[in-house]
Amino acid sequence: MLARREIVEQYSDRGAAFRALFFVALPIALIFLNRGTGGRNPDPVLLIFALQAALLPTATAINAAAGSFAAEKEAQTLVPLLAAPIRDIDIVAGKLMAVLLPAAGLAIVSLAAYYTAASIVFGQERVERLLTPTTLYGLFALAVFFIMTVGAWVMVVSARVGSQRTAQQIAGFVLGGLIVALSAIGSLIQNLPAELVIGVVVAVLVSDLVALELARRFWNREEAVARL
Amino acid sequence: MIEVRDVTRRFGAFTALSHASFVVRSGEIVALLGPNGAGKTTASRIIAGILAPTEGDAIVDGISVREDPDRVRARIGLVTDSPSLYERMTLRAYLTYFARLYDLPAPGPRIAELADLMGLAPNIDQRLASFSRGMKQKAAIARALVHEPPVLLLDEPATALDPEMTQTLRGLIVSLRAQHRAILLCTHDLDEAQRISDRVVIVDRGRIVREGATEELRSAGRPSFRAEIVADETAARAALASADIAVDGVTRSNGNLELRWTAADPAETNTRALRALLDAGAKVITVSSETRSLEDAYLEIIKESRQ
Repeated sequence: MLARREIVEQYSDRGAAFRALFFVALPIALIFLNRGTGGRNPDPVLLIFALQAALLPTATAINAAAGSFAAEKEAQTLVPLLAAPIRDIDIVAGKLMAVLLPAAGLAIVSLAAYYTAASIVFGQERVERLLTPTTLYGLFALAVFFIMTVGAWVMVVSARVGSQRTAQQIAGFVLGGLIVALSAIGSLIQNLPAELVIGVVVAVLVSDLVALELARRFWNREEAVARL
Repeated sequence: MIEVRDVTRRFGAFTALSHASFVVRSGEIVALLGPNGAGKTTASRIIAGILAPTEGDAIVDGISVREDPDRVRARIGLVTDSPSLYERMTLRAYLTYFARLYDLPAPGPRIAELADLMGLAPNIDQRLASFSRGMKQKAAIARALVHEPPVLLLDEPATALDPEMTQTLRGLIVSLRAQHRAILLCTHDLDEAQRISDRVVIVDRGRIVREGATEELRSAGRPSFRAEIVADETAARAALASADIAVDGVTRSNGNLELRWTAADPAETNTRALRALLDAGAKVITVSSETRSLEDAYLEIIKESRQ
């Protein structure tokens, strides 16, 4: 119920809907703009854009998470919520779900749209060979982990800053850096040792766990009320 | 009923509330008064079960905030100075949302009843963003009442309301007392507290410095008297001074002179004062006792507590 209210609240804003559309459309536009790139072997380009198609929609999670935590703190709407007979963990879980579900749904839409667009530009046979179901599931799983990282870190930032805008800006810088780093890794993926790739995945997972634990601590009732 | 039992709350090295104890009975309005930062909001948050006491306990409707804060929260309605609404929602959706958070199975009739009580029935399907400040505060009160709590915590509920809306709110709070709810009103508005509270708890720098019935606090101390006379001011002052009476204040009203003094023994002092004034040639129009306002009593108590 908490998550549903948050999602309706976030996406009743036209700006949020436009942002979501933009992030879905961007990799498709890149595919059409780069149709000649890669010469006879466009596979690396297809993989990099596929990675972007999976990860870019996670950027919507920044706004969602900042809106869910910092904006609520800023508008003082947290007090009635904290005064209700619900557990701390339900509040945090509800808010995280509200961040995770729409962004994950958008990642699926984005990957599906990208797959279709790439098939049109580079041929279905090539795309089927390159983006196997296992690769697509892997990309989706990465997107989900990424959203959790973003959501949890924005929660941590939101507990410390005074406004939604500041939370968005700080989280945006962090996310931008991560996307650039992951894209760079994606572009070099064929030349990278498997250990490094596994290391990056482990680092993302550890980051998730650290951020979730910090978020849980910062957003317990006592801490949240003391910071209002 | 609320029982605050020797509650202390510290934030690091800062003590926001120190060994506070007081009671709010069912069917009673108690005003918690104090300057900014005195500990009023901390006290109300501890009672509301959203902040744990460092020491002591608060019992709400028989339940300890330490042992079962979830059940305490289910019995409390909290209104803060800011309406704190989700403004993109309609009033109906907003109240339904909170009714479900409080586990009300079929909140429809209750929501309609509250909208009617608050005079918001025609606006029930409008977005809260379109409401005026007063309407928003009424919506916040409706939210606090949606689960029919036996205890109400009102933290500066009339902030930024116009006089008409303040009067409506006052009527509403009094009617809630008639429904046998225990109401704690945290406020700076001493006039409001004087009008509707049965008892007053004054807190300063985290400590409770006075507690008592509102009328008792107002009449505490030496009684004050006022005489309206026709006389020369210098002569009147000299007459009272010769009778060993200290004048607290002199004003002019409609050409007459108003003199004020306090008296530990009114029968003896006032007789002496009148005799001295008449001997000085004054014409006495009225002599009356003056009850202190709650504001005067409050300021005196705060001053005393800091000495």
